[in-house]
Amino acid sequence: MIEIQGLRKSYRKFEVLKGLDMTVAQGEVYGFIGRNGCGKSTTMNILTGLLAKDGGSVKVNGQEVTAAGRVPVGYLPESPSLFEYMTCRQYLDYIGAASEHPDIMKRTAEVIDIIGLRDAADRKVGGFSRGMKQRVGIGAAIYANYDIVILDEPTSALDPQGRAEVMQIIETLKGMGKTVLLSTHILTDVERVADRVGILNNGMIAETGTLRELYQKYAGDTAVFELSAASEPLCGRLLQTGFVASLRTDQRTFYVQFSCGLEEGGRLLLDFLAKQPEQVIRFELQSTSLEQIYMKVCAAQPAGNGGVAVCS
Amino acid sequence: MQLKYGLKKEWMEFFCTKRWLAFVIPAVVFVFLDPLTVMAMPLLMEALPADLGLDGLKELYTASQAMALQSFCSDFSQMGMLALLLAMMRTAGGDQKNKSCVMPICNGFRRGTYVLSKFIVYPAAAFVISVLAYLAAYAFSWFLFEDRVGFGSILLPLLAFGLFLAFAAALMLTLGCITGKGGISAIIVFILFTFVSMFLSALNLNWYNPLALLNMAGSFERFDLPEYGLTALITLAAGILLCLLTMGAFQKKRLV
Repeated sequence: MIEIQGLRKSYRKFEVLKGLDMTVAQGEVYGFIGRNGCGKSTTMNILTGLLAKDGGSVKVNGQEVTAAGRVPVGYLPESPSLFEYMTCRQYLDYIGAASEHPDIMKRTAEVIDIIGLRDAADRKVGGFSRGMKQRVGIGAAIYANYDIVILDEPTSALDPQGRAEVMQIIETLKGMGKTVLLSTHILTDVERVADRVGILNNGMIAETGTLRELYQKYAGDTAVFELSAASEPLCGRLLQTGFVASLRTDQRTFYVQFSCGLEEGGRLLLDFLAKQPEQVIRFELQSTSLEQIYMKVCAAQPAGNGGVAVCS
Repeated sequence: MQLKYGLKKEWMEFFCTKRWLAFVIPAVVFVFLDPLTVMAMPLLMEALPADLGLDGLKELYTASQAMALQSFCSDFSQMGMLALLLAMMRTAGGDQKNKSCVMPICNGFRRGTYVLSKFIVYPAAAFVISVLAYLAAYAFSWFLFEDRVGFGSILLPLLAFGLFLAFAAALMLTLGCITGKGGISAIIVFILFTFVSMFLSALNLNWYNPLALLNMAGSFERFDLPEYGLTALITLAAGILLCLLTMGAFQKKRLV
């Protein structure tokens, strides 16, 4: 479990974290999102003991984290750098020695299977693709089998296949019951695996909750339908129904926002349109996405300096 | 266990990446070039015009194995050291610059052990390669000159030479690990060794310090054993101190 209270961190005069509060429960995959330079990597570096905090409390499994102290978490930094003259197996053996694992050979073989690099295990890491290197990095992060794994942008700069491979490993970790703190700009990845999401903005968590809670809170549930011909009377009839909150029309295309949930509203609208003389040629339900929620949250609380952090 | 894997990692980094070639190639060049140059010098002088006034010098000049070895020590200690420092740039500061040390340290690799592994492998490699180069220069020049140096006479100079370059490697590691900048560290060490040595020699103060070992490396007459022993001990002690200093500084170094 990760507990952060009132976390503060500044780089020279620029305050990146201004009292961050965050909790990641055991066994949870927590999607940690925010704009570039907002402090995600800084938070993760503090959690792993690589960076000293200026204030606040950071606890991992109940133990306070200190800089340069030993923190029992697996960590994959952003764009990990590996020893390219080593083979995958040799590198993981080295990581095994780092964590003083009692049976390095056996554990290395297990990790190689988890990350799906059995066929490339004895090839030099320098010849790996970006996606393969990222998988080796994840292998290093999970080697010591800590309950908590911190992944900083594990799918950045990967092609779709590389991303899919990495996301599969993250799903495997989720299935193993690991607590995963995942930072990424690819919000569809977060929607795929995360149990809860935290949006970091202006040095603090601006919004947090499960995906379901966030979708309900920021529901912008809209239906879009198109007629074969324009119809002004239909607008009046729609507004007299009880389930339409607002309506916008563009001659033949109608944008309807419901006063009830998306599913119920969509059903009621379909029933209504089926009884109307106008011919509907296209019908679409548009639910809120995490991207839209993220944009709304960041727009509601703009970053103090335009979101540009100077970190040195 | 960490030290064993740390030594293996540094060994692989130096040898599998072929960085050792940057040090060995100049060694091979000077092993052959310096004795041949010394041997050819009388012929070159004969070829020079008489009105240059070098007749006195021609008479004084006697090509010998000792001269060849001194020439080798002088050239290789400069160019070979530069090659060694450049070959070590990546290990001295590169791990920090590219952050490749982050994941091992996050997984529990002790920072002190991480540094100690470097301080064992690189000075040892510098010592062994330079001693082997010295021996190769001795063997090659043995066949070129009649005026030879006995093998027993070169043992202490040979060790002094190896110790000198090992110390240069240790100093490079210290600067590189503390600053995180391999290139600048290489330049600083090279300038230090070149100019401080000249400065101390000019003031007749070049004794009981690692730089004095270079003079001893080219001296085959009986020299002061206590002075030699003390200089060697001071150099070893300085090397150990550099290692401890670096281990301590690296504990507090910010890696991200």
